[in-house]
Amino acid sequence: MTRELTDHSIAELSSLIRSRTVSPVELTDAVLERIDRHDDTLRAYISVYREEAAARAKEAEQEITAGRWRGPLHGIPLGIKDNLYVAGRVTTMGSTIHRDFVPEDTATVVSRLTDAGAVVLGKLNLHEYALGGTTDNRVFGTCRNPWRLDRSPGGSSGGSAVSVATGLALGALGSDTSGSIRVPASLCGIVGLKPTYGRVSKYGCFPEAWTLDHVGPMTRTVTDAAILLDAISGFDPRDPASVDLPPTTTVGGLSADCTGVVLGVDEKYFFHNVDPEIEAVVRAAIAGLERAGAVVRPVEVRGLRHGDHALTVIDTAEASTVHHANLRDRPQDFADDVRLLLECGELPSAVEYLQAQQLRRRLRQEMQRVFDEVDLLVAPMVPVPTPTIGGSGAGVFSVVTPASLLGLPSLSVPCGLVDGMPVGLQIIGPALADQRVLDTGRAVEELGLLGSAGPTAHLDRE
Amino acid sequence: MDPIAVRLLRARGIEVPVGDHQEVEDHWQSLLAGRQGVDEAMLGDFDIPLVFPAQGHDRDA
Repeated sequence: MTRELTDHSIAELSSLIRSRTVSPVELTDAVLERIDRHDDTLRAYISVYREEAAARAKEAEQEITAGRWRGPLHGIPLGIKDNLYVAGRVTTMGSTIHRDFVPEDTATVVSRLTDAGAVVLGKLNLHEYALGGTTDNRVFGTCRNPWRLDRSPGGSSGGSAVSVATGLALGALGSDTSGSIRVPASLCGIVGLKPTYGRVSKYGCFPEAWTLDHVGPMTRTVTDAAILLDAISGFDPRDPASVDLPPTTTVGGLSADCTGVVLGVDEKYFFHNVDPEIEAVVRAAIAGLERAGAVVRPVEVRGLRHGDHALTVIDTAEASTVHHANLRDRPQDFADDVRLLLECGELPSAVEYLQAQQLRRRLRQEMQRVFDEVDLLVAPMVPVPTPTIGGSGAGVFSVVTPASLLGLPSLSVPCGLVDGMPVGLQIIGPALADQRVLDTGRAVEELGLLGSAGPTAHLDRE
Repeated sequence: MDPIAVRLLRARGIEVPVGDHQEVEDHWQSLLAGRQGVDEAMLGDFDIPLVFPAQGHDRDA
């Protein structure tokens, strides 16, 4: 019964909770039990709010019984990446330096989830300060990919991806500066959405690089991602980058019909160095969308290759600005790879940083020209096989740049397996086209390319 | 090893551990390569310059 409950999607459980077929208490207990059973191995969590989660679930049950159903997240147990502040609770950023840090305020996204009635289960493991792609965390443990425990889950939102993939949370929040939601989602076989920049508040999210940072949902299905996006999006005066728009209403209009949707494929940038088996899986997914009615068209986003340089300069320079004083005064307290990245971020000159920002604006214009021709871009999410833990991870992040640098909505949705490991299709849309991106993600799900494969079977045999 | 990158960091008050020198240097070289690429892109890859051209500074001047 336990496994059956935690295998359901948020959308399914929401209906069951609303009809009082399933109790939020029963569901939360089931998820907490799974955490107890598997998290010593997986290391998805940094802290578990056991008592608070149980109390919130009880409260949700009482409200629903009294006829006060708040919406699709009411009574749903979710996890939160541990770079999102929760007032009065330790928020570590996965670091030694902030190991005992207790914020005074709560991140807007967390407040919005709790206002929607969600049950916050605890805080999820991440690469230190979100500055890396492995979630091999020296302080809080090595997070493991549940599809094969010797493989990396990716990062930096590795704990979020692993918790969702294994039913240790029904959904989670991650953050994405240069791929940190989408890459672990792809490697762990779940759905990860980096919304349009500014569509979701990043108030209370510890900054990595403030002109690039995004917060977004990580879930098992596209519909669940839409449910979370609708709950956390909308203008927030406390985030200077927040777009002055009301919350999205994507879930109501979600459609898997991709008839007539024009999909652009930039061979030169996205397919120039892809593992052949991964390429075959991704191309099969694109062909499936074409059979379902989409129109596939070759495009070229000119100058895109220079975007990688611009992203590196902006990301590292902003991150080093955030951490400059600690890098100077207590460098020994950073993980070796993070310290090295921050040292590198001190190198670009002011001219270089500003030139990178100019290049970014120019690429945005170029991308707008391309989006006059096509509705969306489709591409591999991770063009290389899942790295082993401790491996180099070369190439894992090599095609995240366009959506990261330009703040475009980008979804990773599972589209098949290679060597028993999941592969994600990346869908990129123009700014504010989050709905269209999600719709096409639903169309991919309808193709049924992942079959019934999942990561949890071997865990449950243990 | 070209010590420019390490000297730059020292000037900002950051002592780079010896074990990091080579990787910092490698990153410095990749920045230089990227910089050259961007300089070329301003003339090559785009229809319009990256910056609206001031008189006397546009690419045809």
